[in-house]
Amino acid sequence: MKGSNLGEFQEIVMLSIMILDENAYGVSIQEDVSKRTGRHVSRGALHTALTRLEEKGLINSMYGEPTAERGGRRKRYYQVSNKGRTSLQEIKHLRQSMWQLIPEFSNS
Amino acid sequence: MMTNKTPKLLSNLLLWFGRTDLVEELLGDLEESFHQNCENHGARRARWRFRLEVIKLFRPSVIRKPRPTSLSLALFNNYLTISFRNLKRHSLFSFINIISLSIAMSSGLLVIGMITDLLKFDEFHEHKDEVYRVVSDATFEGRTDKIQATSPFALGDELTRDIPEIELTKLGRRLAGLVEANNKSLDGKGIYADEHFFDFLTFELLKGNPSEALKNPFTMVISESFANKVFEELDPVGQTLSIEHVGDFIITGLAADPPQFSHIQFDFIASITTTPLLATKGLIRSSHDAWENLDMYYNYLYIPDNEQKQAVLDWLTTKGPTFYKDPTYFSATFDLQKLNEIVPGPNMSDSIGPKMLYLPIIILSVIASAILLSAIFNYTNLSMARSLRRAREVGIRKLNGAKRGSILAQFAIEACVFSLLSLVLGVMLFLVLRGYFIRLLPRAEEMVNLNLTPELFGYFFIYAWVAGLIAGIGPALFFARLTSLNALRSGKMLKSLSRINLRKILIAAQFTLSIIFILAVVITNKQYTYSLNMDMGFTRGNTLNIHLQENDPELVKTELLKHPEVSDITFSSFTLGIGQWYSVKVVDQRNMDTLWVHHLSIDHSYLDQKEIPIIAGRGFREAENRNLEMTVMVNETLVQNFGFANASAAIGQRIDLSGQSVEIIGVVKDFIYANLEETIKSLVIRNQRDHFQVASVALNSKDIIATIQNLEKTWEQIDDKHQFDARFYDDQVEGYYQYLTDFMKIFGYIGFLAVTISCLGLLGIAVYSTETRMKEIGVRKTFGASEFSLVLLLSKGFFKIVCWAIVIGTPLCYLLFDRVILEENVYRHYISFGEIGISILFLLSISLLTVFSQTWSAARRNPALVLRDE
Repeated sequence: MKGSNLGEFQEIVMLSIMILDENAYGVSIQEDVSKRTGRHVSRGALHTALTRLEEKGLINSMYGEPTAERGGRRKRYYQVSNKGRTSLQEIKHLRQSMWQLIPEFSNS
Repeated sequence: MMTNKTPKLLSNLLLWFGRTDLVEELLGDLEESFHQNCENHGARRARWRFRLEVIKLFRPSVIRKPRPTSLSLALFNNYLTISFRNLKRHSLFSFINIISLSIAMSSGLLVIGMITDLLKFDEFHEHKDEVYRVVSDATFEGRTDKIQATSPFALGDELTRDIPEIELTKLGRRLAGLVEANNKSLDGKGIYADEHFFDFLTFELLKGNPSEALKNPFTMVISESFANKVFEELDPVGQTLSIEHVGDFIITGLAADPPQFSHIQFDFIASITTTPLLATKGLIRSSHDAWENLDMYYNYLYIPDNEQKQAVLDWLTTKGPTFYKDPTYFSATFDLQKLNEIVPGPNMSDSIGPKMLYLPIIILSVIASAILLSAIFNYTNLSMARSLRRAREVGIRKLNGAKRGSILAQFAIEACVFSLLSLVLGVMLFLVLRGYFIRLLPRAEEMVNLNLTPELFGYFFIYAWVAGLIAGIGPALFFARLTSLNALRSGKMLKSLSRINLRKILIAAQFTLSIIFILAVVITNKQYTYSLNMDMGFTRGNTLNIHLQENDPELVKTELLKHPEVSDITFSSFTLGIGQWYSVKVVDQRNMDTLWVHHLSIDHSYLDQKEIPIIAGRGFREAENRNLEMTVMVNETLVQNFGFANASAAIGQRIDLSGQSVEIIGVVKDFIYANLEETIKSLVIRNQRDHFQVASVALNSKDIIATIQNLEKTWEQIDDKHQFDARFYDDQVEGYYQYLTDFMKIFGYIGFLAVTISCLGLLGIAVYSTETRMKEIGVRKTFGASEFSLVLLLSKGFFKIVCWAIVIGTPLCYLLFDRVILEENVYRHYISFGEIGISILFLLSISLLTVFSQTWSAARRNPALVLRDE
């Protein structure tokens, strides 16, 4: 857990990538995150998050096929790596265990 | 669906700053979103969102890292090292290049220095953009003269009355003379000005009240340095200063010296309210403030904005000319001239200070550029000639992955190394030459100082860089275009490339320039000696011309004749043949025709001393016309122009001379009284004692210097105020044609530069081409070719080029001088074949000497040494 320091936004992006599964690329992630969080996410902000995550080895990317609507440019698809999945799991466990310790909620 | 395009500018921006590996993904994403947005929100909003997104992408992770360019520090160092190694290895080439570039630069540096100084003129004025002066263009009895920097006295007042928003200060000129104050006497020069002088012109008044100091008549403000000269420690304010023929002034203020780069210069400023009083005393023209009199005063205007400027211009064009009641007799039009466009500026008469026209600046710049280009040709030529040797280096670089750009950079840097080294030498030359340069140009001392300021050095630096880049661009492009294969192949192809005709053309151009300047020097020299030795129709003899300076001629004559060395003294109103003349209106009494003629006053023995023959009638008698002007003499041209049958027929005729009817008593043979540029016009010779300005003293002494000293002592007894002003006639004539020697010096220096540079270039090419033909020479020699035939073979090509240059340059220069420059002179030297021949011979011999120095040694070399390797 130490050192991976996942920010909230980065975590959401990773989760979104996993939800979108095969279809996770720039535009779809941007839309998905915007929709879910209810706030506009700029492509630039998303780009920074994706770059960080890839640097940490939490996600991978590969180029897809060029399409006309993109002006003949290729899509870049993202997927969460095993290391990424483990990090997400760890965070989830950590959170769950902490939630359980809150008296208000644990007793209900 | 694809009807809408993404905003081009912003996507290009992203392409420019974005990392290349990211741009495809990002632009793709943005374009996809853009199309979606187009459908959902419309094209307008989609475009805005697109722009915003691109701007938000401007973040460190997206921005491209500066590419390691071809000019990384290590590479740069490498280029420098290679440059210096080449410089050392090919020391002859480097020497030629640096010498020719630096002497060429020296001329450019002088011109840059001059232009920089001239552009500083009047820039110190706080309101330089809002101050104008009124200039005028007068037409007098149908004659239009040059535009005048002056305007009528009353114009400014009328103008400010009608347009009260503008401010005015009036200046007057012609205030100069012997100044006496504090028991000292010295010459001073000043101007008149009104009390608004300090209002908007940036001149500083150190002591006194700026708005009061110039209000009352016979008050003046004195400049600091002049005050120091006259009053030394004394406080000048309150002192009295007297100017000869003008009057006594009370000093009311002390002004800071005008800056050097000011077109208004003064030792003192007298109040302009003095001038009406001077007019009533008869010291200046009584009509000084008439509208027809517009050569004495200047109106400087402060016009705060453009709207008013338009109003002023309208006033000047519409109302200005209405002040002239009889436009057929006299009329004038007016215009505005901006303060900082006076120097350098258009050619105007009656300027208040030094003037510098655009034309000489342009001519000098063109000549300097031509010389620099010539030196740049050398560099290009020599570098191309060395292409064979350098090609290998370029080939290896290319094989190791050097791009076109880096080869370009390398050769550009190399050229700049050369030009900057030349700059060092060039600046030294500049420092040596600037004194001569300033002295050579007329009145340049007042205008330029050519101080090497950091600013000027900055310009020099830029100049050298630009020169270096121009010089480097040819070789750089040449080498950059080589493919590594071609470069490394020991190359036939390269040989053909390095022998292109361009080089021959460049050399021919250089020599064309050289022959033009050599011819120019020869022709100017001839015109100079011609001018000095020309028979002008009178003798100059061994005479000394003494400026009378308003002393009584009789007194001077009796006193000076006491010296036994003085054989004869005569008087005249001006010295003949040195460009002076005066006009007077004459009415022919037979038909009342009015003519403008020149007039000269002499005493009765003048014609004898000058040996001017009288062809009809008689000369003046002693004391003739003493009380009333009754008789005059005329020259042959006047006899013709007035339509008299012959010289004798003119005798006894009467003409009207400034309202006085006089009789013609004699006709003299025509002589050149003005100068060689003017034709002889009608001349009336008068006998007016009060016109005498010059005493011609004929000397018959062995020890000239002692005689002059004696005369000076006598002079001091006659006149203790004025300096003894005497010059030998021959010296005066020589001085008058000084400008021709000045031309000769300028042409000579430039010609020297042109010849040196082109010969250096020729030398370089000769060295190169003999070196590459060493083997051929060796083979020829073993087969029995004589040394002479080899020299001929090697030199033939160069000889041809120089001949071409002569064929082109000679007629060009001949036409230039024959049709343009000498055309203005009525009495002129005609260019002869001999002079052209000498110039051609000079150029041919100097260029062939250059070539022979190389070809001779090549032809004499032992073929065994050259062919041993084979």
